[in-house]
Amino acid sequence: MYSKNIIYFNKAFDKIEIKNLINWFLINYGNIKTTKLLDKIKKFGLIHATNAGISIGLNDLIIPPSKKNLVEISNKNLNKINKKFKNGKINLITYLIKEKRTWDNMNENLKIESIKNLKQNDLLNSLYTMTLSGARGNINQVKQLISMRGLISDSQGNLLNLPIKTNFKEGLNIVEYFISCYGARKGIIDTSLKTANAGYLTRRLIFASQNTIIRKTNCFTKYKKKIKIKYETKQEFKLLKEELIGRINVKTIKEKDNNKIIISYGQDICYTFKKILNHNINIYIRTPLNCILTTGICQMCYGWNLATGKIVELGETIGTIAAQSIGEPGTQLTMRTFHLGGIFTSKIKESILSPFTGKIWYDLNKNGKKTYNKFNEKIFLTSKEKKITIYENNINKSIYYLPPNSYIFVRPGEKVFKAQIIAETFDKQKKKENTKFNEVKKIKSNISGKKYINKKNKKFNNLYWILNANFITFNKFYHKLTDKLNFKKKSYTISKNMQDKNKKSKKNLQLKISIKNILNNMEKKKSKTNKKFIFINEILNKNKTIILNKPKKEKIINNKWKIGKFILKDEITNKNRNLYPSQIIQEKKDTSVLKKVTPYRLNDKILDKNPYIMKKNALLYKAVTKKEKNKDIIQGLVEIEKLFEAKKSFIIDKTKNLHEILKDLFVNYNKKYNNSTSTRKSIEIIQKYILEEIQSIYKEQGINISNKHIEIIIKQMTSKVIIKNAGNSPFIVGEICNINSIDNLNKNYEHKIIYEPILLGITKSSLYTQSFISQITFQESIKSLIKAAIENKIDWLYGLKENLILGNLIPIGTGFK
Amino acid sequence: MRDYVKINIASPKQILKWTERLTPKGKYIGKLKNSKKTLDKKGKCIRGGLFCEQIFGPTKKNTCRCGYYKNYKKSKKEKKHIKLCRICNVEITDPIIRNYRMGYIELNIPIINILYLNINPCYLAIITNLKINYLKQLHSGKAYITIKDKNQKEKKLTGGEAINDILSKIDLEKTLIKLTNNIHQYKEKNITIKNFKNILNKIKLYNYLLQTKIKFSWLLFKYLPVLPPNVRPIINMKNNQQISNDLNTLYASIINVNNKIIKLKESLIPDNYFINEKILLQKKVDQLINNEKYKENKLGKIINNKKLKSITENIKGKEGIIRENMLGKTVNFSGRSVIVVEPTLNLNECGLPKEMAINLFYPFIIKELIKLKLIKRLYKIKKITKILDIILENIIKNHYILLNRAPTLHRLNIQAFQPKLTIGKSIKLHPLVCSAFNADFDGDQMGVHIPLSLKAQAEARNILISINNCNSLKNGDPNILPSQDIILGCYFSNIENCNLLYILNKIQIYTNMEKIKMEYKKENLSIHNFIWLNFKNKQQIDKLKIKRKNLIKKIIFLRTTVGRILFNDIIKNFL
Repeated sequence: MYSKNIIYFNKAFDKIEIKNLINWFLINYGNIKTTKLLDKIKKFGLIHATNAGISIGLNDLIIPPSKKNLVEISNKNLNKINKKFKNGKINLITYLIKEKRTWDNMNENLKIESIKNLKQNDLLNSLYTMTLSGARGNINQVKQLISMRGLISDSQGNLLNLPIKTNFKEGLNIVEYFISCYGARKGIIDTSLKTANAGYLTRRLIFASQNTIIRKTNCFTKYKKKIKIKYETKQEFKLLKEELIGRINVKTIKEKDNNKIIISYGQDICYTFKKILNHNINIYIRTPLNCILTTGICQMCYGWNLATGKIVELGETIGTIAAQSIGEPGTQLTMRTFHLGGIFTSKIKESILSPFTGKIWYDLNKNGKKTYNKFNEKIFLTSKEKKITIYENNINKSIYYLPPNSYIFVRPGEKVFKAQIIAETFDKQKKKENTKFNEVKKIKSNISGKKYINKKNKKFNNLYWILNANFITFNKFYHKLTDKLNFKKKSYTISKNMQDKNKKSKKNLQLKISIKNILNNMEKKKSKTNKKFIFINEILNKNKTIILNKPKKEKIINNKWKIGKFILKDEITNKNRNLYPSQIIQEKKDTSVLKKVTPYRLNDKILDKNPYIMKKNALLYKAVTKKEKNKDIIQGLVEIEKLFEAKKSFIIDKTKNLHEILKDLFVNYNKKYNNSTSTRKSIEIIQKYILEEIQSIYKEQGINISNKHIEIIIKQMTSKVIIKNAGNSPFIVGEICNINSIDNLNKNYEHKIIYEPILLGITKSSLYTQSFISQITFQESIKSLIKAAIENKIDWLYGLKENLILGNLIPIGTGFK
Repeated sequence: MRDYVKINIASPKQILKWTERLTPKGKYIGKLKNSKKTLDKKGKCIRGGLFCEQIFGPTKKNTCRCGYYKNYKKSKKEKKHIKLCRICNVEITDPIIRNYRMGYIELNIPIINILYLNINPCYLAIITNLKINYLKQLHSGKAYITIKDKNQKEKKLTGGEAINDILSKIDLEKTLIKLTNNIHQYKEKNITIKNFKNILNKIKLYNYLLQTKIKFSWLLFKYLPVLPPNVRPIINMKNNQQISNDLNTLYASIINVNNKIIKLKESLIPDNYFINEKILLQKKVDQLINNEKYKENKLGKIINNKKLKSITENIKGKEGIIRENMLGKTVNFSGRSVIVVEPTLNLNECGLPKEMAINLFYPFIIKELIKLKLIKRLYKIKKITKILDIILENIIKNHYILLNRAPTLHRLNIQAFQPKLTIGKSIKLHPLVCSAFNADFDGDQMGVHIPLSLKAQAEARNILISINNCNSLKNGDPNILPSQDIILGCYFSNIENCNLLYILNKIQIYTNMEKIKMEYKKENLSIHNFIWLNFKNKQQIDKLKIKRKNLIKKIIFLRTTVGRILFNDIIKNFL
């Protein structure tokens, strides 16, 4: 690509390629040539687009044939888990997680599968060309059209457990349609409500930093930032590139053999930076954070103006540019979020799918062991590289080599279906997951009954049984009996008291039931007429309720089980299968009577305060679950605002906020170093933390902002100190001043000023130094106006807003003196 | 010396200096006594009222109220002196004077400025060292202080009078010295951080007050300045209705109450009997300054239950004077229209409707026309169409315009373009700058501005022009990027089509790119046809990025498609 004749691009130009081409062109050939090229490309593209006449119709949306299979498999998996849950083998929370994971897996695999399908069958499919070239639509949108819509978040951004299995070509059913309405509505509401918030953040950012301009050529600071050169992946290299390009180098680097200078002191790092990386481990650069000018920033500390690719000129309004660069994408994205319609995207582990239906084989004894995972599934954990083979028939087979620490879900010899998940690999890189929120989930009983905890049996450890039963109050019970009495007089006898009263006056029923009488009568009745069973299990005096058992007669051929024994579902008992988890309550010669029971597996602690009997839908226990939230820019902006305002509600490590951490750091450093260095060191750590945190939020949304801009805002937040001891100076204790100006003053004093670092939010920090005229234009104008009047303030008209109000030329850019 | 702006509290003397004027007859003018806030039937200002021409100046240029002088031209001698009408005492000058000239109301009792009391930190409380609640009770007449007269009689005072008395007894220096001496002791006494901060704040404030030499009595109003009449305008409608600024009613009510107190004083009624009036005056002044807190009070409401807009409300907020009028400037020579895409434009051009251009470049056109001596008057230019077109084209050649799309979130949302005259009413926009403006064509509108001065034009050409804004600010990536159809066209023409039709075709060998282009034009080759391209030099191939190094010697041919050759041909022209 270097001399004139040779350049020939033998590749298809999609959006990314064209972007790279233009970027390369801009760097090498400048603006004017590039714009002319762009105009030519525009003409070429439009002509060929019209010639191609690409259109899209219903037949272009091709649903992959393997979708049916995938849905079947995941349904099968879910059934398995459901069984386990109903038998009490796993608790509710793991059940939910597993459910979500299976849907996620299916979603992701189906997406890959459908794109593969298009690629293999119809390369010139118009849908495929449009998305692949980057002309229109992205993969998420295509996924909704031809694979499945997937999991969806509701109006609060929480995940809904019911996925949308259909796509737009097939059409949604009614339930799915209603679910998807949540997300769609959320998008629309957010755009109209949250744009104001984003705009307000931009306004504050602008106000905080509008006064920082390039004031001088060099500040001769001795502070510098060390950057370790260490990269393995492509992404790390890219990050390093973004960090380095356009900065000024502070330490000359020489070649080891020749003493040839690679990069000298004060040279800017440009696009040929790669040769530096080969020679050195650390690079020292200047950053705006380390600039020691009291107002503004020097040229050397700022480095390149990113818009021109050259060193900034004097008088450039870098503050405003920084604020705009940070604020603009936030505002822009809040206005654009509704396009996705609440589709939940989460990252899954890399999984290996079976390429065809066949049999699997691997050695169970080598390189790993059998275990259970937390979902109570049988898995094989590999310890070294593991070979697995899948046979379709005698000829056709495929072999996989799995890396260590990966799970295999199927046993050797088992039959596998096409696109079934065989194994999951273990990633070294930690992917940033969606933020999780603790949520207290109330778990309720499905049936009414008695609570029972089996502590002795190890098999049923941590299980929580609900014995199926009905409750009835004395009143109702009496009514029941009497009603029945009316129907079948002969078959019932009731105690004398009641009988007499009934006979005398049927209208006025007075309840004076003696419990013993009822009990006695019932038992008699049981023995006499074998037709109706009513087991009165227990009578609770306090609540005036009677517990009635709902017996379920089931023949189970003779067992040695005693009364009170619990049986799980599907436990085979001599040819008869048990349909429900149950308890034996009666034993006869050949049969035993069972009662339906529901087991619950507990997490760790049991709330024994609960009442002994459970009504239907009564609270069993509370469980703390971690719920995922769809993190979009709107949630991100709240975090960013908290960081920039240095709010105390922004808590790190669950205990401390930024202010407290800064204080701790300062105290620790103060034992070793003197006042100035300990302040700077502790502040540096906080600065780094805020920078990385904000970058991570923006990166998540795919926004790429240069560190420079954020550093300028952070400098406003951290450049102030609070005076603890005034020394020889005329300051008052507790005054807040600029750290650089105090360090300058301290050179002249014998008793030096002692200070502590403080972290100020952007709103607060902007109110400390600026002129009163620009203050009254921001917020609380009357308050600051009166304060200025009482303090008899003088405005020297250095800033932008003062001059704008008075109608002067603004002292920046071309008006800079 | 550098220019600076200074702000401090005005003394009563200073207020009189602003508001009172000495006439040639030796009379002082400026005091408002009459509360008449309307105009009379003829639409003239009422004498002595809130818009009095004697006090604030004439409403018409060089014309007095009684009509003795009408459009009077001053002689050179008279220009230096103030000239009054002999009959109605109205000064004969430019009515612009009504923008600046203030009047005043002489208040009978000292009135507290509510801003020193209501706003946190409460400066009155800090200075007097009293509790805020107590001060507020004094202010509203619920508490009182007792003092001794000259005749040693006990007297009860509330309101502004009481606070005036308290303020007059404070010795600032002594208290400051006490505080500063005790500051070290405070540390020892384990006082909480909050209290310590309060003391520090107090010391700071006292320092400022000592430096500025403010007298505490200045915190109270003795003379209440009345804003110039053009700041609080009144308009006479056709049906004899008058629309008046809210401030007028507030000022009028103050004057009314004040006049009442004067009358009561004149009739020698002792002070204790009209305390209610005093408190009412206080309340009226409070409403004038800040009417927000009187939400439930009936006094603050007028017809339709609308609150009157006070002075502070006029200043603050997004629609207040500061942000609306001082920071935001209304601009002449601007237009606005719907945008439409125009792919035939170059990147530095935009289409401007002719109708809009005539209006926007009006002064420039007239300048040209007058130069050519085609017209003498300004308004007839639309009739001369033929020459107008030529003139307009000439002007536009050297004149760049600014386009702006509404949410101006970053500086790329304003860019300069060279206008091209178009027929129709919409602005034509180049498709590649859409991403910078974040514009689409579903009804978006754009504003047009014209840089007038020569410096501004130069800046528009060099700095704001769209071809100089290729890189985005936030990360240096290219900002002007083709999208959608352009990319689709490029991709489609460059793709390797694996259709059997093309694969089974015999692939031809070419050595000359021009020949391929010719064949393509003749439609012998379609765009997806595969082609072997022969490179003559071996050097060329060495530098081609081919991964399999072993094969390089054998390969002299490159397998491409017709589309790729066409695309590379474009790039080649610019290398």
